Amino acid sequence: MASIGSLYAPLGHLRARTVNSTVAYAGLKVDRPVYTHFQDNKKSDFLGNFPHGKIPAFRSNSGVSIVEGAAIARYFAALAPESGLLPKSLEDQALVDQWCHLIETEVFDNTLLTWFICQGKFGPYSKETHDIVTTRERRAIGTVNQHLEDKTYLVGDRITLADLTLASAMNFALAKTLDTEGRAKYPNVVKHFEMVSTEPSLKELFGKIEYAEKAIEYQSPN
Amino acid sequence: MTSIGTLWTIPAQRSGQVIRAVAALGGLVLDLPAEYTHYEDNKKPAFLAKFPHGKIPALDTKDGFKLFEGTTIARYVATLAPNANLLGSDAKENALVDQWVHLVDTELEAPATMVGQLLRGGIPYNKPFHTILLEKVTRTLGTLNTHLATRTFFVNERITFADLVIGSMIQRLVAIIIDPEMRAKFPNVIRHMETVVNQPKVKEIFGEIQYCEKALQFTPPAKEKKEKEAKPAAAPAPKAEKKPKAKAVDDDDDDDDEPLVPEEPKAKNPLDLLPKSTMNFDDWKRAYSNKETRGAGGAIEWFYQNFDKEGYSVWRIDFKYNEELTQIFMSSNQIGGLFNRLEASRKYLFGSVGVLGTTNNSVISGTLIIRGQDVKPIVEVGPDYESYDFKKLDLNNAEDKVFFESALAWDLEIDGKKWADGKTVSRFHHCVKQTVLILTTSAVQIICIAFRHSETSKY
Repeated sequence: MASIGSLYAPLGHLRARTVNSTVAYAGLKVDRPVYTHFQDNKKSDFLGNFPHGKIPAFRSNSGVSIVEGAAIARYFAALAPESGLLPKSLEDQALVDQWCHLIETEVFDNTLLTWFICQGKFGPYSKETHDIVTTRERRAIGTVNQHLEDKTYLVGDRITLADLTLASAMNFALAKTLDTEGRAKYPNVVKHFEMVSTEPSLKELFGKIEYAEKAIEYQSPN
Repeated sequence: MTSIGTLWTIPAQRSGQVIRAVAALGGLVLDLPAEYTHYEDNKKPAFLAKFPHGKIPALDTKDGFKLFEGTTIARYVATLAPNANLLGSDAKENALVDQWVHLVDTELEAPATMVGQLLRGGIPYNKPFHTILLEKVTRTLGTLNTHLATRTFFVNERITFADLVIGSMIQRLVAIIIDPEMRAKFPNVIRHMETVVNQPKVKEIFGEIQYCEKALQFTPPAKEKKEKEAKPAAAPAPKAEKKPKAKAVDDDDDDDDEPLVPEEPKAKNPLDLLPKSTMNFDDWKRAYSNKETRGAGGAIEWFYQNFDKEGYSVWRIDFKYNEELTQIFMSSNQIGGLFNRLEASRKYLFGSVGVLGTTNNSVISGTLIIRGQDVKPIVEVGPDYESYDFKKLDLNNAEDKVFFESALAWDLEIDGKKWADGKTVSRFHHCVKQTVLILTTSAVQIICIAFRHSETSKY
């Protein structure tokens, strides 16, 4: 199978988990140029192709640059219709898009924000802000969890891009914010994660899963 | 032409406008709800049964298909009008449209919305965080601007979904945080926005472009975020000169209700016009935080040495509906909420209020020290005051004196209901002008909150 182009998305990188899952699950072939994050993406040849300077980033063989992990993942899914990652009907595709959007913007981005807040990266620590972000993250996890009450997959009856997006977000949340207490509250998303992350084509990518016992807290310097 | 279905949104909601614009350019019809009250109807079971996340925009099609997430709905509507090519004309162009939409969703709208929340009190203000968010916004604007240096539209020289999303977002931001200086730095982005928003088929949907003269600055929150009838404030601010637009919802987040109006000019608070007092309120608040409350050299001693009874007064506050109180921690939260909503009076108010007793058998009571002789203008700034009784205390009266001191020292007892002994955990935040002191015990939770005047940070 021919490679479809060059993908800059380190396998261990958090935000690249969805696009890397898509490649693995759909069985696509990509070239992975040697790349060191925070260094190569500041150099002129990278910026020449990808002016915003971020990863994931994809350069097709015909020289088209596509950035934004979710957009690349959707593009890859569309290249592999037999994978089922993007369903056939426009309505089911829209449902996949809906869950992907909700999960990325209200789960993953809030987990990330929580992590940065607890590291003191966004100014002086504020418990109130931390709680607000946690509430938002939990609200979204709750919606997804409720949806999975009577379903195995988010859309239809097989794995779609939405399931890969959820598993990628959960991979991160389980390690940082969805602790023992949280997992007990939202068992359906945990069960869903365990199903997706142990798929034969994805097992290696997800690797050893970290489960937080207690959600991350602020570590004050003194 | 038959409508696709009902789009649940409110006219000023930006992401709803984008969906309507997509429909307009695609030659499709969407119904808007005949009746919808945000924050109310979207919390009702009928709405939640259809849209479990409880947010708008939400689409309810004639076939019974339901969808939420504004960006997704807009994209879906675009797929129903393939001839309009709003998503580009092949897989790669689709991806590029998706790319631009995703970029601005996550790196322009998200940080800008958070800036709005910081500036209007939805999230505690934090200058470094504000700066970082503005840097994200600026970085993205730069990327957009560079791309548009040689292009009219984002993908393949014709209008797409990406242009509608970006144009509408920039329209919103030039009214709030993209000030004249920034507009000069990113002229292509501004030009693009004006082109898009003025397209004949969508002009009426997007409405007038409002350009701010000055970016929104941080001001302490002056009213509750929920849509409630405004209570008369101690210092009513004069109406803004421009006619305020209808309240807008910035994004899908129904917790965010930001009116799209320019900053109102600050008015003089009558409390600031009182004759200068001998007591410095900040000094009192500092003394209370740093000293033991009772005993020699303590805060109460400091207070009696410095109290200016002409310039300040002492009050007792009691919750009127104690029979409603259940769990202690919930009552504690209620006190916290009360003080949050008195933010506008922070400079003129000190409070030490607690919950006494046990689960289902408790009262909320405490003391307030205020600027001036009348508690009403101080507490009227928030909507809670009607649920509390206020009694002015006379510190020459033995009973009042005991009450006042006990409320400060957290050993107040009313009808056998006590502050409990037990393990206490205290958390202290010290910055130049502010302290929040929280005491909790294992048996009974007490929250005593000391207010300080803070210009920049609030924990």
